[in-house]
Amino acid sequence: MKFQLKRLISQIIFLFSANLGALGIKTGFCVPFFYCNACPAASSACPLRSMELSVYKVFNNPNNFSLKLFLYPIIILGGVAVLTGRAVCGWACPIGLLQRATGRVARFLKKKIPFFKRIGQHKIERYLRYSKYLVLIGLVFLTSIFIGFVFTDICPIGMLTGTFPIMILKPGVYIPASYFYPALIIFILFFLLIFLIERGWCRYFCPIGAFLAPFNKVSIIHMKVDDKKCKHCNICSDVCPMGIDVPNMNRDPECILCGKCVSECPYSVVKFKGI
Amino acid sequence: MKSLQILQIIMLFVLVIGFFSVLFTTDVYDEVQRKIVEELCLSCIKLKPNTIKEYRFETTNGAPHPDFILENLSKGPIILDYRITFCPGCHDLENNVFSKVFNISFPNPLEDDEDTEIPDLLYLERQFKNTNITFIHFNTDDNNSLDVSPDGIYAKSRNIYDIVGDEGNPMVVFITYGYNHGFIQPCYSTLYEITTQEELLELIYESIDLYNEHKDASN
Repeated sequence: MKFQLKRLISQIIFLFSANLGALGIKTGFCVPFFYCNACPAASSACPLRSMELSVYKVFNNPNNFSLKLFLYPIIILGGVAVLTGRAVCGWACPIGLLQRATGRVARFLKKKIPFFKRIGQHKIERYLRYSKYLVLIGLVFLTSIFIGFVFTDICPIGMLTGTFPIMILKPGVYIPASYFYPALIIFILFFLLIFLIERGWCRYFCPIGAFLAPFNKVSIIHMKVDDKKCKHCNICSDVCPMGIDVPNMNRDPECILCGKCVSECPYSVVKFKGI
Repeated sequence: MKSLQILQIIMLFVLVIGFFSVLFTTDVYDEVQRKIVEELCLSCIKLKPNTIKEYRFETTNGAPHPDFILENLSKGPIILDYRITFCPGCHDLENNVFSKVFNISFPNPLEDDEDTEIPDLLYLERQFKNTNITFIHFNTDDNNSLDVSPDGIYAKSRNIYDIVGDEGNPMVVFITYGYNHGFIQPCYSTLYEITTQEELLELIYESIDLYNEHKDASN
């Protein structure tokens, strides 16, 4: 079986497992990827929601801090990340699956329109990748500590997997709250982003990706390029959905271990290690 | 290279032990299941229930109005306030709206310096436009109390008036009398958000007007 087909099957299996709530299976676990617990079919919690709840308005009242709700998603995400790094982004995350589909459009645009190619190669692009760490620290943690639930109020994934399904399944039962329209604008921008830049959400904004990324430096499973045999043909870099300079990467935090470089390398010098 | 492998093993060991410790020594699994997965997060979906000022006669599960409702309704309209302890929207409603209109103070564990507890039941009566209003507050956190009388009866009434059925909080029910195809019967309006004192007063006055309009015919 082709390697990328195996990955697709894995993504579909995880998509189904995240939606077992449709069969009445609602667990107390956190998923180690991005999926909103407000989805009518969600089987587990979003780790970010648990993190937000654990520190809700702690600045006003330190007694609000819940250590168990804080540690629980961190331990789950950390355990998965020590084993596989950011592989969950490439192999399990339903939003990753969505971006796999939209990535074809982004790749087409990048080939046909020079502007999109230049965006990916601009020197500022690598600094933009740090914005996801700001989202994690600023929007998920700091706003929860000082203000309240800001991230969940505007989260585009909540809009996609929670808001729209509920509006379809229960028409007329709910009406937009005050932050619906700002969130809708952010959702439209999110949608444009993933069509214009391959894996745009994972690259720049995903707070769970930000949490997992540093673990690539120490994860058991990782990618390895054989420097001595590499011909620097850069085919691997061209096919990389995260836009990584693959021949020169060394446990790159952006790598989602999708294995496209492994499949495409004509000299078989890019390999999974630790399996 | 070996030091990295040792680090990986230590990290994995700590995280696995930590996971099972948290899972089996705390109630985090139940808390996540109950408060995050099973309860609809209105913040996540950016929506609010569409229930503004709609009076209904049929209860959601078809059950009759509880006895304590009918007893209190003989004195005037009733306001039921359902909440859980960890509910920012409930705090906002009670501390910014109910407390000012009814001139009472609610404990607030999210803001107060010391540990505070939300009482399971508060009952009070106030006069508006020379009409008695009964206000009953329920904290439905403790599911065990659902089966204990009399609190159990009160808390169970939630299922009768929860028109959305998603266990959303806060939930406020206005109960008064209305005209239903030739009969004067108890009717109710369920809301999940009241943001201002003016809005609450408007709802109270509306329930009083309905009550005074129909109370004589109901006897």
